[in-house]
Amino acid sequence: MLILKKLSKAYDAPVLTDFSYEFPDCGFFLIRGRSGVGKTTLLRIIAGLETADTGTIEPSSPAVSFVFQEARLLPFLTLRENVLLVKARRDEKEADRFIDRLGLKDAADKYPDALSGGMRLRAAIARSLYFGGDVYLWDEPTKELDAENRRIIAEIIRERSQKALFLVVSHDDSLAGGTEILLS
Amino acid sequence: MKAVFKTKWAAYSAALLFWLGFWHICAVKAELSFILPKPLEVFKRFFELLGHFAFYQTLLISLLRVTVGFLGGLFLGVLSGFLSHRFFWARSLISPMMSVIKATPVASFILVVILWIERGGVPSFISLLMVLPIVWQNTVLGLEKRDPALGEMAQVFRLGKWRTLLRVDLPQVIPFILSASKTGMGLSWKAGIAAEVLALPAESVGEMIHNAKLYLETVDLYAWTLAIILTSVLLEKLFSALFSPKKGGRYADPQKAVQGL
Repeated sequence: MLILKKLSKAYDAPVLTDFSYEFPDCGFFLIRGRSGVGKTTLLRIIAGLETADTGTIEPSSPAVSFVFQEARLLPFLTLRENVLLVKARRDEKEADRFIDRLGLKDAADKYPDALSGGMRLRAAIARSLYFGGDVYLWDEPTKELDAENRRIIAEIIRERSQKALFLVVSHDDSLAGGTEILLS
Repeated sequence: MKAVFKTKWAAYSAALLFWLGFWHICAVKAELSFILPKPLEVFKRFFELLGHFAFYQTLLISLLRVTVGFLGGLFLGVLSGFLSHRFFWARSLISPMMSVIKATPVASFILVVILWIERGGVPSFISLLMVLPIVWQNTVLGLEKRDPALGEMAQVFRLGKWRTLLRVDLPQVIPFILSASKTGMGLSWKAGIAAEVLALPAESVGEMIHNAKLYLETVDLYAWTLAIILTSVLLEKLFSALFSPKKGGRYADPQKAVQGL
């Protein structure tokens, strides 16, 4: 269970005000809302990348697995090495499983600068899946992807949300099926 | 003209021939070989030197002295760079010292250092001083230019302090250190030889140059200088070959290293 109580955050202006929600251990939640309402901020607060001005999170530092809006791959590592990086105990078979699933097998040994934006984003998703965790926080994971890859991502989310909690910021209709949370 | 110089090598060779010709004409006009010897005389003497074991021995000993200083400067530069980035007090302490080292003429340093340590150690110490501020400055710059987005990635995936340092931070800083090393290597080699000329440690290129000057053996002076130049070029080529981007040297380009993709 992930319990958010009255989370608020303001920069120059308030972006998140008294947001509360009780998430179950597993499931798929789509976080929606217009630009600037604090969708990304909410994910960042849950991940511990930012501190809420007020409010609490229980547990205070959940084991999260993040996909940022940008892939954030290390440019001096290959795609496979980028995926493997996030676990101290490397499991190449497991990493390759996710790389293959996301259609990146042929690109596994390439460096990020040789990949398209969509491939980098899929690599970031593979990294998040390989890392695992109780809570998956994915920020616009299908932004630069074609229809086929969006379908694969939706399928992965549906499968894995049976056992883990997925909080996904997206306006992509191919990800429909999750419980929608509209931020305003 | 464009057709003649259509390759880079042809253009370089033509330029080299032009300057050798210019040198030859000046030498003929000067008439006195102890003031300006002809290039052919210098090359002849240089090839004679190449046939002597002592030439390689002298060159290697000088190279060893400079390398010791270079590596010492590299180590201290990186260490002080990390400290300066991490602690404000360290930066406040180290920064003025680096400014002084950079602004002080190398000849002043050599003359002062001769009074402090035994002469064999002077070239190493001077080489260290040449490379230290450059590596320090670039290490600090590299640390400042790290991509904070990659830091967040490391944080969210809980890489921990050491893995973040070794796998995320250090590779972003290495290109800056390598760039400084490449510049520092040439500088420390030249300054190290200058230190040898003044400190005169036994079996050194500097001693050979000093003796050549003392006995007006200008051809020898030029031949040894040619050896120094060629060694410098070889070192630079070796460095580039070792850390070229083609050999997995993603470390060669600082901009690529700090830009999370």
